[in-house]
Amino acid sequence: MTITGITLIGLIFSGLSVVVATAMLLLVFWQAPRQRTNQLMAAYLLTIIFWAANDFMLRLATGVGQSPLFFYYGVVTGVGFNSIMLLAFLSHYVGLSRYWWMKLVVGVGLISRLIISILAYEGQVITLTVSATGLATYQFEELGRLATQMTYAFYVAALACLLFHRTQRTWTLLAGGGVVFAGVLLVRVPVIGAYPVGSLAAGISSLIFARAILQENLFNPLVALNQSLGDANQQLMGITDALKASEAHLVAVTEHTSDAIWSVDREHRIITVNSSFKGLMQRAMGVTLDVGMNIIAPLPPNVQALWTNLYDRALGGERFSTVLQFEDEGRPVYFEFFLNPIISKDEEVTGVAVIGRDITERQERQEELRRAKEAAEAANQAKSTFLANMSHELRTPLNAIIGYSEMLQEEAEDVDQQDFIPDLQRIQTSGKHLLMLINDILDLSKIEAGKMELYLETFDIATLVNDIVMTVQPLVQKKSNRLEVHYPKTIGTLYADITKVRQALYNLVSNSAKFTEHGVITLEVGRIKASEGGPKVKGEAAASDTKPSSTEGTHLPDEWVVFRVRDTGIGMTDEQLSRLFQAFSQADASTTRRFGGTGLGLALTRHFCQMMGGDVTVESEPNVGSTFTIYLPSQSMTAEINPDEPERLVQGTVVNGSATHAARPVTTAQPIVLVIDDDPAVRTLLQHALSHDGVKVETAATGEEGLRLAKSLQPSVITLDLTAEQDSWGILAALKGDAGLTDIPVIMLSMVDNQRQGYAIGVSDYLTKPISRDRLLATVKKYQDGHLPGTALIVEDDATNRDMLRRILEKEGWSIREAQNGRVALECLAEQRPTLILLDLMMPELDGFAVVSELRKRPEWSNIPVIVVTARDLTQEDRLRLKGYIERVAQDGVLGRETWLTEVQSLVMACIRQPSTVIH
Amino acid sequence: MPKLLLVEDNEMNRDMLSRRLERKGYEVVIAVDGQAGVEMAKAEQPALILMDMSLPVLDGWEATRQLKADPDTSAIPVIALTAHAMSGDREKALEAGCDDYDTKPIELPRLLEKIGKLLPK
Repeated sequence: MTITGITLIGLIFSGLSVVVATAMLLLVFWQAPRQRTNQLMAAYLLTIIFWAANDFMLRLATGVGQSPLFFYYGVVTGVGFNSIMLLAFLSHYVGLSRYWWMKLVVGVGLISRLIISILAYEGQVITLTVSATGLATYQFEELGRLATQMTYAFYVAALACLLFHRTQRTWTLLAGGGVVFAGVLLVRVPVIGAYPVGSLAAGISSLIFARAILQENLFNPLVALNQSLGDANQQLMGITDALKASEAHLVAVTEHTSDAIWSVDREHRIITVNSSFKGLMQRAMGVTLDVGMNIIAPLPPNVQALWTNLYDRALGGERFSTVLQFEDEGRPVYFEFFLNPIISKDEEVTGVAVIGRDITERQERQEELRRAKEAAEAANQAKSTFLANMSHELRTPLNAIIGYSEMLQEEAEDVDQQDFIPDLQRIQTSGKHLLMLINDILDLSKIEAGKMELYLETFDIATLVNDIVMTVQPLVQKKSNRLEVHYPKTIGTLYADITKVRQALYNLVSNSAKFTEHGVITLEVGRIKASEGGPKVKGEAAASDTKPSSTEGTHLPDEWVVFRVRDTGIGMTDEQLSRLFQAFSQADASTTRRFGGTGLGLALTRHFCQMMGGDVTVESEPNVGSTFTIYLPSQSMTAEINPDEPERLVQGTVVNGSATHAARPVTTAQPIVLVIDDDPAVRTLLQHALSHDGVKVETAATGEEGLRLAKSLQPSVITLDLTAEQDSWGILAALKGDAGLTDIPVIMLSMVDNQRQGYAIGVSDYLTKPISRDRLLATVKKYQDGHLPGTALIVEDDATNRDMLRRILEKEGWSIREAQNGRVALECLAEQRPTLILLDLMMPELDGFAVVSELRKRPEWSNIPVIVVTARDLTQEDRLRLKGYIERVAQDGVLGRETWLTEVQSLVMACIRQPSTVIH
Repeated sequence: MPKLLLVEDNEMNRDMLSRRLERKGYEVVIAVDGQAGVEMAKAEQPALILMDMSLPVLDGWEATRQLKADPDTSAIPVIALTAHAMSGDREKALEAGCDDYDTKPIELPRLLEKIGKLLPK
């Protein structure tokens, strides 16, 4: 058993190849096992290992004298697969593997090679003949020759692939592939074929390929790059498609709008525009603009600065809109522009996106609305004025008609012309009826305007009732009704507005008489105590609804006078009842035709009763009859306000008799400030600002609540909002007209401009015109220096009033200076500082408010006592004028919120520190 | 016959009231504005003055004030005639020194009663 030299060399060569190829295989996997190229390389290396291992075994078998045929099959199979794998590897490397035909070639090669290999192992491909020398001779069958040629073809194809995609590394790969192919070819040469040159060459090629991997990291990044580039390309195409679709949406949105949309960059260059852009720019500014142009330069010079400013604001990061007016063929056109900064990912403003909208139509509508509103307001004002004038104008001729017809009746009686008398009576009756209707309408319009006032007095109820009975008797008898009147002998007196009570009662009785035929109308009068079950009526309900606090106070009327009017007339359904007290509404339309009337009577009745703190209720059943009940507090001290009409002024002026005030609480040392303001926010604000240093702050939301609190609390000072919806002048007049309240200082103030600013007018005192001598003297006495009268400056435009004031005060030893308007007053002040100032509010040139605000601006004048003189009964016109003055002063002397609060505080404290305030 | 001074600017009211009062047996003298009323009162020394309040030149309140301030006329009772619509006139009239008031349109019996009360017996 000897091993020849050739065999030994063959063993060494092939063994070396196995080792090298195995090492390379491990290397390839270690580097990137998932890379397709590396996997193909690995497959290639596996074929080399298989090939070299079989070669090794072949040599070994030959050496030990065994049949090497089996291993020879393995070598042939290894070579065949090697050629296919080389093609698969290199074609993949150059990128040809993605073509279907390449995949087909490789696939067909593998399958056919597999079949051939199986056949080879079954001995159908190669026949082996062993010579006497021990050399084996292989005889290829037909199939074997085909397989060999196929193998050569694959090698050639694999090397040819490298031509397709030449790079720097192509030569290395060509060398690797070339060595294998050369080895395979050399086996055919008889002398050399005895040595295992094929497997050796394969081993060398695996070294060459591995070197490429090791030294240049050849495959992985490049192929990965290639692959990711391909992937990226795919993705990019997908993204592009999505972008195109989304852009189509965007274009549809931006293009199909009448708004112009455009964007500019930081240099004001137009970047994008939509189709409406050009048209809008043309219409607004008469310029044609397009993408790429500077958006400022072509604009008319007068708007360039404006637009530069707008763009720069947006470029500064501000998002805003603005309305600009332009002219289009002489007609004003309005555009609204929305400017939005375009902000990049790194938070920088890279440009401005603008939307421009033509709002001319909207603006014109608004303008129309505004004009219509103004016209409506003017018309309403005109209506009020017209009604006031007209009522007088109507009454004058009507009075003449009534008077002359009455006179003619008297004369007819005197000359005994009885025939005329019934006709003259008809004229007189109709005239009076007409007068009554006019009065009703006027009353209602007064109520609606908030100008209906109460005149409270004490009167005898029995007299009133008899008076009414006398008046309505003819009406009652007209439809064959009987009127029954019941009241206790001790019914006593009522403190209320007699005219309104009479009118309310007359309305109810005449109403019953109108809707009853051949029936009985009953008028009952009585008194009830609230504590004994009270009137279970709205009078109380309304009172407690509007002012819950009043139920706790002493002012809920305990004693009520009740007037009940019951009839046996047609009655009313519930539906009719619900509309009963509305103005201009009768139970149903047909009623008007049957019974006549304006439908104002009951509405007025309810208004009057509510004004006096009571109410009227009704119960009714169709065809059975109706019962109306009036409840009135026996002392209409604090007149109640109908909650529907917050503006109404109720003036508790005492004409006859005296008002009994509620018992005052025990006087405490703690000064109280009463804040009367309808704005809850201002109330809270002042409550906080003034509540310190032992000062107690009480607030009232309405004038009448203020009056009530003023009476019960006797505050040291009252603050009153002048521009509130309610009638502050009425409240002021009521405060100053009440003997118990007249000495309490009042500071007029207001918050304007949505609680950011305010103003305050602190004057020492108020007097109401007509001036009462005693009041005037008592007031000026409070403010004189020491015991001697000083100098009084009378600022009043009316000469008669001025004269009167002068005469009264001169008698008391005052020296008088006079000024007929505010301007002259300020001149007088500059000359000589008076002890006090009597100031009329309504004056030409410079009004009282302006004088006060001037005084407050000068430290040397600010502490001069100012006594404001106002008319007690302000007309609507007066109120408007005063409001105008205040608004002007407010604009002029308006203070910031904090300053305002400080000012109010100092005014309030000044009043509190003045102990001279006389309490009666 | 008691002499009454009627101060009234409206011609028809003046005519009507004066004729009716004359028929009731009063002597009526007439003034058409406040100023004339004051002068007339001094010159004629009437037993009573019926004074409309809304008068030209000098209004009823001021005229009354002057009458009451003048010792020559202060004793003469003044009845103010006020319009129904202006209820405030009533108290103003009393403040100005009027002795009584009545509302227009005039109801003659009521007015006569008030006149009767104020006239010196």
